[in-house]
Amino acid sequence: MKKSQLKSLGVITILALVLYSFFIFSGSSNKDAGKGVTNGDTHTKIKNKGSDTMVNLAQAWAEAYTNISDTVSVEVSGGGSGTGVAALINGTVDIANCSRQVKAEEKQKALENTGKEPIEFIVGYDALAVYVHKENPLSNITIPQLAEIYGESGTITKWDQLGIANSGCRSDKIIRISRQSNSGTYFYFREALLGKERDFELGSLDLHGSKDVVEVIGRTPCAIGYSGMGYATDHVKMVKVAKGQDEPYYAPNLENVIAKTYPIARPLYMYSLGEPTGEAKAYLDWIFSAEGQKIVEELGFVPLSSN
Amino acid sequence: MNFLRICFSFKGRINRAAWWLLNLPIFVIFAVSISIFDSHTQITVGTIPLLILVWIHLAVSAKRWHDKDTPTFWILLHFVPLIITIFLFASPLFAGSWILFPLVFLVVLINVLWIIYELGFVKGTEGSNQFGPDSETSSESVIDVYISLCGISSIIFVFGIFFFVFKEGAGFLFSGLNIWEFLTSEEWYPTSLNNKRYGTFALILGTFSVTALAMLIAVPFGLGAAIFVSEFCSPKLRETFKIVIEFLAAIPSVVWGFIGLTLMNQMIIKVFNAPIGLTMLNGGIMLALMSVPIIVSIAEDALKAVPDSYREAAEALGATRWQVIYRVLLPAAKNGLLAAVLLGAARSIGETMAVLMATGHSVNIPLGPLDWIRTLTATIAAELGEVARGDEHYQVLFIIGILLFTITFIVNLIADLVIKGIRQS
Repeated sequence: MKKSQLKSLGVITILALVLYSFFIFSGSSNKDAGKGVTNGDTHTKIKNKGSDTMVNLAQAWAEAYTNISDTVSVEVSGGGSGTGVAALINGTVDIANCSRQVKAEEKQKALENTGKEPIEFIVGYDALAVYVHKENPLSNITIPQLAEIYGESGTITKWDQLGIANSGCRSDKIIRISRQSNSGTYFYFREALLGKERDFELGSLDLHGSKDVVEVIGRTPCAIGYSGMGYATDHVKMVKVAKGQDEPYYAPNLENVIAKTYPIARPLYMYSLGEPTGEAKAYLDWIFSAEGQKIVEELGFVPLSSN
Repeated sequence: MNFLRICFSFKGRINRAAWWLLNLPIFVIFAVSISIFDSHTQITVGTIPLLILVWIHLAVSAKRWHDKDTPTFWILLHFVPLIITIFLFASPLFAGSWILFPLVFLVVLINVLWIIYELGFVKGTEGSNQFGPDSETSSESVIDVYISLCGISSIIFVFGIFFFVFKEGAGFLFSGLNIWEFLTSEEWYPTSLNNKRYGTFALILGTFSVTALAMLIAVPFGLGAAIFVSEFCSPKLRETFKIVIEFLAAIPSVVWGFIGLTLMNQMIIKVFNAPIGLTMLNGGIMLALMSVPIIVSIAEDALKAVPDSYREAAEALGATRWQVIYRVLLPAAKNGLLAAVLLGAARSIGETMAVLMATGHSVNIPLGPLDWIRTLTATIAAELGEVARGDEHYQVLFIIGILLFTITFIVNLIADLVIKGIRQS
């Protein structure tokens, strides 16, 4: 009896020893991973997530930034403005990309969750172009007309109500192409057309992604839709837009957006959790520099420019 | 030897299979938990489970050493890496001298590999030795336990998924959501700024109509193809056919969706003179193409399972080939054919990406196959990505998940009852 008791005591002592060393081992390896130490010098990762509209732009920035700094790499992922804000609230990203403004309740949530408030930076502009099929004779449209096409119980449903003969579309029915109802683009377009009170009429085709919108319109003579200015292809036509009936029409291009005469242009935002510090601040500063803003223009967006 | 004694007792012998079966899960659990939990959780929550795992490892290894007629204390060999680790990390003598690291690593590696070789690959002594009788059948009780765990796990997963989906949606389902309006209103305005409305009637109708249309196309083609492959083909042609049909099943649904968005869209505009080709018809054709391979392969198996004596008896009575199929084979294979159709339908109801791209994804009550629609699954896929966690809209999307769950449950239940009814008659 005594001998076996001694034995189990021995086993337990050994187990305790084992346990102790396991924890030291795993603990120390965790610490190493956290610091991200490679070859003796510190390597920093900036995590950047959010808007699908901005994902190409953010990626281009991240790539160009590798030439600026050897020790900083930027990790970019998309998923939508909402995803970026959610990650910011959870404190899992350094910078969130957003094609809409962060809502007050989201700011509140971030403050409760992390103790820091999201700080807003406008990094460029995106003009939403109104697209039609390339054979569609429509060349001008006003915001009130668009509101009657897209808005709830709108009155314009046929192309001839816009005063044109759309010969490619035999049924003459306007097919409304839209985006899924919680994308930043959808929010912005709805507000630009209808304000905060009115909703879109149901029955629009809510496509998934800016590219799909242009793709479908390029193959559908009856369609009208909206998407970023940078997504234009040879199969579609951008329509000039006017604020009201007697106002001048403006094409969606760099000059008009910078001059703020084109009516449906929106700012693109980046949000950091609290005032940015260290490498994240350096990165944002670089984005605002001439070099960073050149990339904005290259990708079909509108830079902040000199004003 | 029962399972618990194999796990915890330091007496007796076990064979190599039992050693592997118990040590591999221990290794996996250990590796996963040190990588996902922080060291604070490891110490507070993990101590007792870790103690149990280490105990099991030592007990199993001791019995394996016994199996090779070696005494219990050989398990001390298992501590060599740990003792070295303690020295390296805790002793001031070695602190900071990282040059030793490769050397230590080599010693540990050799030690571990040797233990794995001795315990995992070398056979025990034949017949009985001083620690007990021959160990050849000792792994059986372990395998027994594992197989029952596999069985139970499928039940656990189903309930786990249902519990998760339900938990996410439950808050809004029981307080706030008007269920009558949810099921019968067509107004789906989840992001309206002043008047949010959650009506899924159009979405439910969309799901059912596109599935029905897909089945209308897929069932005749699928069953026809199955009859052709099983009854009329030469063996060589049959093999070719089966390979081609299985290839059809291997095309990812996003590719079907893309074909629908581009090619099919234009074709429908041209052929039917429709304003746009992203319609129920487009989605239905895509879904039919996706479910035909499932219907064909299961229906073909069902037809093949009908014994040849049925065919021979029918032919001996002077039945024509058509009569053999219509009067004998189809009634005999009824259960299997029904299962094929239902699995095809289940595929259609659950499909997401292709219908998201091909049907137009538009909240609309369809009046004909050339109307654009939106399905329940596509709504979840399109909107869940950008919704704030825990939001009303987020919860409604999970309630749609519960609705889909219920629909599939009812379909399966009906299928079971129908098959039971067929069996009894």
